[in-house]
Amino acid sequence: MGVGTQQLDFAEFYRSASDECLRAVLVSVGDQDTARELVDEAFARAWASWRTVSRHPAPKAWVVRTALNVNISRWRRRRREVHVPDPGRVADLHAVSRTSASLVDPQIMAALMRLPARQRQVVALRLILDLDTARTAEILGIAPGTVMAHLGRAMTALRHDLQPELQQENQR
Amino acid sequence: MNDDELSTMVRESVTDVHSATPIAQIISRGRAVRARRRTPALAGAGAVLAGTALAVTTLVPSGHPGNPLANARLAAWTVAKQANGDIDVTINQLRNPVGLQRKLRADGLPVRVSYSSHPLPVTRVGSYRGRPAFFVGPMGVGPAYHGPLRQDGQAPQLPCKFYPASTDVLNAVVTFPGGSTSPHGATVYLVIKPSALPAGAGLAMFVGGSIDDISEPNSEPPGTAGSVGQTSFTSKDGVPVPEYSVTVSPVYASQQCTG
Repeated sequence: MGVGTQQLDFAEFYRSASDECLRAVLVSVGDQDTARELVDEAFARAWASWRTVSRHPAPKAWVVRTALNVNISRWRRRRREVHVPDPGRVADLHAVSRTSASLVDPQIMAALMRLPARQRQVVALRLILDLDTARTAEILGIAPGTVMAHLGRAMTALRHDLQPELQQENQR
Repeated sequence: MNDDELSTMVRESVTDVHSATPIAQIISRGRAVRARRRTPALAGAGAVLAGTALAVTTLVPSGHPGNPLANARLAAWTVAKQANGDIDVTINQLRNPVGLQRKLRADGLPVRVSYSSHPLPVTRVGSYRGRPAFFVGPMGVGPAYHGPLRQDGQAPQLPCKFYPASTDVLNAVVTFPGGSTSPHGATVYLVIKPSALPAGAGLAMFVGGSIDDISEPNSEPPGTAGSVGQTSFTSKDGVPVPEYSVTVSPVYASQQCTG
């Protein structure tokens, strides 16, 4: 495959997958600016390794996993400079609202941010990227049963968190 | 609300989010990544080839025997002392920590190297993937490293005490030219400047454990001085997966800790 063809191929992949990858990473990290930076970097790395990535059975998952790995590296770098909370642990509704502007539902995002990081990753891969349990387990390096357990716990927690919001909306 | 309704709600909560970065910018950045990777990759490949040729588990200096300044090139790691006193360390595999520690000490660095137990205070005992484990988090809120508990259920007893050096001092002593993520894949490369160490200070170097689970809260141990490190990644079915981390923290030099 020539470079021109590769570039077209990658451009098509970027066009079709970038929104979905961004949303999955956003659900995982909770901040749009961070998610955009991570996804941009992950796509750049995907282009740098396009021969490998284009043959990957789930290239979107490769991008999301890479973005999350970049986030881990950044977390390491930050922690040696100043004390910062793992952004995924921040469940402050006001902070979420402020950083996410009006593009995402602040209540749902806050509920997602209250989940442990691994549960958010499972939600991102299973619900946003629509991967099956086996592929999600492979990407995260955990057992399929663990994926199902994380998803089950995440759904229970989200339901518990969001039910009052729904009831309030229905009463209006 | 059933699972389908909840799933739909989560999906719809982010549907207005769109990527706005032009593809030209992504490709330009990708080219830079590729160019940066190419040079170290060649160097790394050379190191691995050289290491393979000298695949030994004991210290085998490539220079004159008995000369502490001689460079050591092994499959597991390479140590090269430069004329200005800086020490270049390349770690390829999680093997032979005793030899690495011996070589670094011979090069004049008060250091403790640990691959299997952490030289820093344990902050929490819990479980990791269903097994009893200890966690440490030198500077952050998450458990950066973990390891198995001893057979008696206790975390390893560690003989080192943090030296309260500033981040600036630490960054002067240890640098990771590739940044916090190894550009060499599974190889980690760091440069140590012993002359920048404050009087009475040494280094604790921990090599091991990936940091793929940083979600659990943790308290910072008292007296924490900070750490610098690099994470290496390997590829599993094309997916980059954190392989191991090398972290260096300043500690008080003592016979017990740094020899």
